Order: sequence, then C-alpha cells, then structure tokens
Amino acid sequence: MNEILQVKDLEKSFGDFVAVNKINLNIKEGEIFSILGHNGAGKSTLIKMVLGLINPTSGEIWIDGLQYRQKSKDIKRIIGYLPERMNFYANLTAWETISFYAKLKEVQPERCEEVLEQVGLADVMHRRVGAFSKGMQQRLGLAQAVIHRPKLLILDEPTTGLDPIGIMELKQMIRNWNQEGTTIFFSSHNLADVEELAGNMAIMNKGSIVADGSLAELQQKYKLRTKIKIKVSGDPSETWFSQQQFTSRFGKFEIQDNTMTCYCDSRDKMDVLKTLLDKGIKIEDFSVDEPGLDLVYQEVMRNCAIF
Amino acid sequence: MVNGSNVIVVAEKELLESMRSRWLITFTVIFGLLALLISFFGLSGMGVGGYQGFNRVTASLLNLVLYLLPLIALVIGSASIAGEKEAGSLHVLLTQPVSKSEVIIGKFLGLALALTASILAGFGGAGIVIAWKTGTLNITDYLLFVLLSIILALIFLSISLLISVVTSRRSQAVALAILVWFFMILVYDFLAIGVASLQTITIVVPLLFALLLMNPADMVRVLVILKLGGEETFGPTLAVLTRTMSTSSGMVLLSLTLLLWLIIPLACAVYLFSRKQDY
Repeated sequence: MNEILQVKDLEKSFGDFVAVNKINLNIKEGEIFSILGHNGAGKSTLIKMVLGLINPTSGEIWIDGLQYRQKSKDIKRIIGYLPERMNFYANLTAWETISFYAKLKEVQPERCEEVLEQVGLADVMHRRVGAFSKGMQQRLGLAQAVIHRPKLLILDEPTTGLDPIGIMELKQMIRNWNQEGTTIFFSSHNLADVEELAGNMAIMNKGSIVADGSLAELQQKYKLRTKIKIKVSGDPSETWFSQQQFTSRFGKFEIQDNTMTCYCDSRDKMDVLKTLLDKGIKIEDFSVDEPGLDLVYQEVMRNCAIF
Repeated sequence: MVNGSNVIVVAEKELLESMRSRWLITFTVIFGLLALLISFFGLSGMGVGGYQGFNRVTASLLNLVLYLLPLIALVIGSASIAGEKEAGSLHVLLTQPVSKSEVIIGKFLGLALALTASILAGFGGAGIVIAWKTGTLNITDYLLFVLLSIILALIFLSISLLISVVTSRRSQAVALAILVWFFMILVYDFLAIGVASLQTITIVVPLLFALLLMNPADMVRVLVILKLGGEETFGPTLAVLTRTMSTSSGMVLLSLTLLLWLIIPLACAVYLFSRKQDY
C-alpha cells in the first residue's frame, strides 16, 4: 500500500512555545487514522500544517508524493477538510454555498445535488445557511469536504456539536467514504469514536506523539489485560483447582462464590476456557471484557506524567 | 500566477453575499433617499435652475458622497476577510485550490461591483430629478461626478481590504475602519485649515499640496470643484490649491495619485495576506 500522507520530523514553534515537536507519521492509502489527545496537545496545529494553512518551522510533509510550495493547488485538489467549528456564509443558501466550492474545485454541478443528498440537506438546500443549526452547518461542511471525492479526507473533531443521531450518521458516512477508497485522517478527543472507527491511531501529548499503532498493538504494548468472568455450575469449592498453577500461567484471578474473574492477555482467552473445560469444569456462563481505548489512553497519559 | 476563473468565482460569491447584506441594502436606501431629497429641494423653491442650480446641488451631493461613501466602503470591506477569519470559513476557503491573491482580488472585484451598483442606484433617482429640473445640459458633468464618486468608494474599499487583512476579528476590523474614516474625513480637514492659516505663503502651498495628495477624499473634492469651477462655494481652505491645480498637469497628477491610492493598498493587502500565516 502506498503512503498518502507522510510527515517527517515535523516541528512548529511559536516563539519559545513548541506546539508540535518532531512528529513522524505514515498514513497508508485506504486507512482510517485518528490522532488523539487533550485540548492543546498540538492536534490542530498538526492538521493546519498538513492542510498547508501554516508553514512548519522544520520538517517535511508529503501528500501523495507532493509537497506544498511547489504543488499547493495540486495537493488541495486531493484533500478535503472539515474544521471543528465554522460558520458558512449566512446570506447564501446551501445550494449556492456548495456550488461556490464546486466551481473552485472544478466539479460538475450535478455533483452538488448528489452530495447534498448524501449529507441529508437536499430538502433544505434552498434555505439560507444563516438559519441552519450547528448540526446542519456541520453537514454542509462535510458536503464541501467530499464534493470532489478527495483521496484524503481530513476531519478536525468531526463529532463535536452533533446530536447522537447525527454522530451515528456521520460515522456511517465516514465508513462508506472509506470503503469507496478515501483515506480518513481525523482528530478527536472522543475515545469511543476513535475506538469504533480508526484502524490506526497516534496519541499526542504536549506536541509529541507518545504512542501509536492499532488498538490491539497498544493493548499489548501497555500490557493491558482482558477480563473474563466465568460462572461455573456445581459446588464451586470442589471444582476450583490450584490457584497457583493458574496464576503462573495466565495472570491474576479472583474467585467469589461460583464466579471466577480472570485477568489475562487478550490472546490467552481461549486457553483459559480450554484449561477449565479440560479439568471437567462445567461453565454455565461467561463474559469477556477487552481493555478499551479509555484504559490504553489512561495508561499512556500516566506514563507521560512519569517521564 | 493568478487564475482568472478562480477570481471570478470568488467575486461572484462576494457579490451575491453583499447584495443580500443588511449593511449595503440599508446604505443604498439611505444614500438614494438623501440624494433624491438634496436634488429635489435644492432645485425647487429658490427658483434656481440651469447651470447655477446644478452646481449648487452637486456641491451638496459632494458632501454627502464624501461622508457616506468612504464609510460604507470601509465597513463592508473591512469585515470581509476578518469576518471570514472569525467565522472559520476562511480556513475552508484556503483549503480549496485557490491562492490567497485570487481570494483578495476576487473579494475586491465582487465588493466593488456591489458597491458600484448601489451607488449608481442611489445617483439614479437624483439624476432624474436634476435632468427634470435643469435639463440634460449638464449630463457629462453629472456622469463625471458619479464616476469620481465611484472611484472614491473603490479607493476606500481597497484601504478596507488592507485593514481586513491585518486584523483578526470583524469587530476589530470595523473599529479600525471607522477610526480611519474619522481621521481622513473629519479630522484631516482641520489639519488643512491649520496649515492654511499659517502666515508664510511659500510654506502653505507645498504643505497643503502634500496634505491633499495624502487624502483621496480631498483629492476627489478638489477634482469636483475644479470641474464645477465653483471655488468660492467651498471656502478659502482649498481655494489656493484650486488655482494651483487648475492646470492640466495638475489634473493628471491628481488622477495618477488617485490611481495609486486605488492600487497600492490592495497590492499591500495581497502581499501581506499571501505571506501571513493564520496564527
């Protein structure tokens, strides 16, 4: 797979303040990549540099093999961008607004209707944007971002300000566009959204990337344990085997009445169950609780605080 | 470097937007109404018609133009870039395949068209009244006056875009614009009066001359006066200069300086905007 976005040793400082500190990123064509971090971690500055809105202090940005300065307009033709917060031109209708962007992007007018339909604004396209709610403005923003079928779609905190239905619809749209081949690069501080959408992610703190990879890789790296709750039938005191033997193999576990809670490596889940079954234990019910991104994030931030 | 079709797309959007803006609509109505009233009452009652009546009305209209046009041009222009910055739409605009110079030039053209249309609408009613009361004899003078008014508005529009580029919020931009208007239209003439009251005539004339070239509103004032030949109507402040400028070389100099006033602020706006990073 080709890399659509490559960031090399990217740095941006404002006076003494280093907003982005020697960042390296490689985003492959076709993936959904998320950049996570607190407010003020440097996500927006990074995105603005990727968009060519601000110049880096040092480092390089390659987008589909092109660089800003020489090929600014060519790059802009293959990226789409939705900012976190914005107001469109209050005195124009949704149709006029989208036609304006379509002309700048040299897109056929027929595409305007199609894309307004896609984001659910077809019914209100002749109403002035000034009367639109935050959610409707966000939809219009999306329409503008995808009208030219960009190779790389950049979304800055896309779910902020949307209602729950809007968030669900947005996620579905993101998945659809991704399936059509668009690479998605989005920033968020909503862990659930990232966990649901992103294949790979990078966590930023104080301008640096402090962790990156897929969720599974991060779980493993930070040795986060999967929790398995197993309820057994029969007399529990007789069915339990040597705790020591089990602990040494899979990690810590607890027993309460006829329920056992085991914290093991995600890959050992099946082994735990198999071991119990081999010993003739009858399992009545069980549940698996994988460590979510919230735990990963906490762990990453805890490590940042130490170092 | 500059792609013409991008400029036109931006201009079109700007024109559409400003034709629906409350500011410009209110201005057009007020300006049109005042111009109509001035020409109607200026030409009736006193029994003054013909060339003299025309001059009197043009002098009154000139004052209206000098106060109102720079103000509206400054207000609508200064809000354009700064307003988009504040709303966040500027970021989205700049991620389109369009360069910053195309954005500024397009905005200028769109606003210029809207402003010109509204000035023409405003002068239209007054023109009809003047033609009805004094005949069509003065039509070329009237058209020249309208043209100078439009040039004046465009110069201040050019200045306002520069203001819009150097500020970051709409309110800040409009405040600075009003300050510029206040200084150039209201305070500036007191400077001129101060200079004119100096005793040594050898200092007064060059100083006044320099002051004149530094203020496009005063240049338009002088050009209209020269055209009307009514220096006595406007008091002593500018009369000295009026005589100096009556020559054709004086006219050329004034016209050239006006042209520079139109181009230089806009060019500075393009230059600064292209270099500027948004934070």
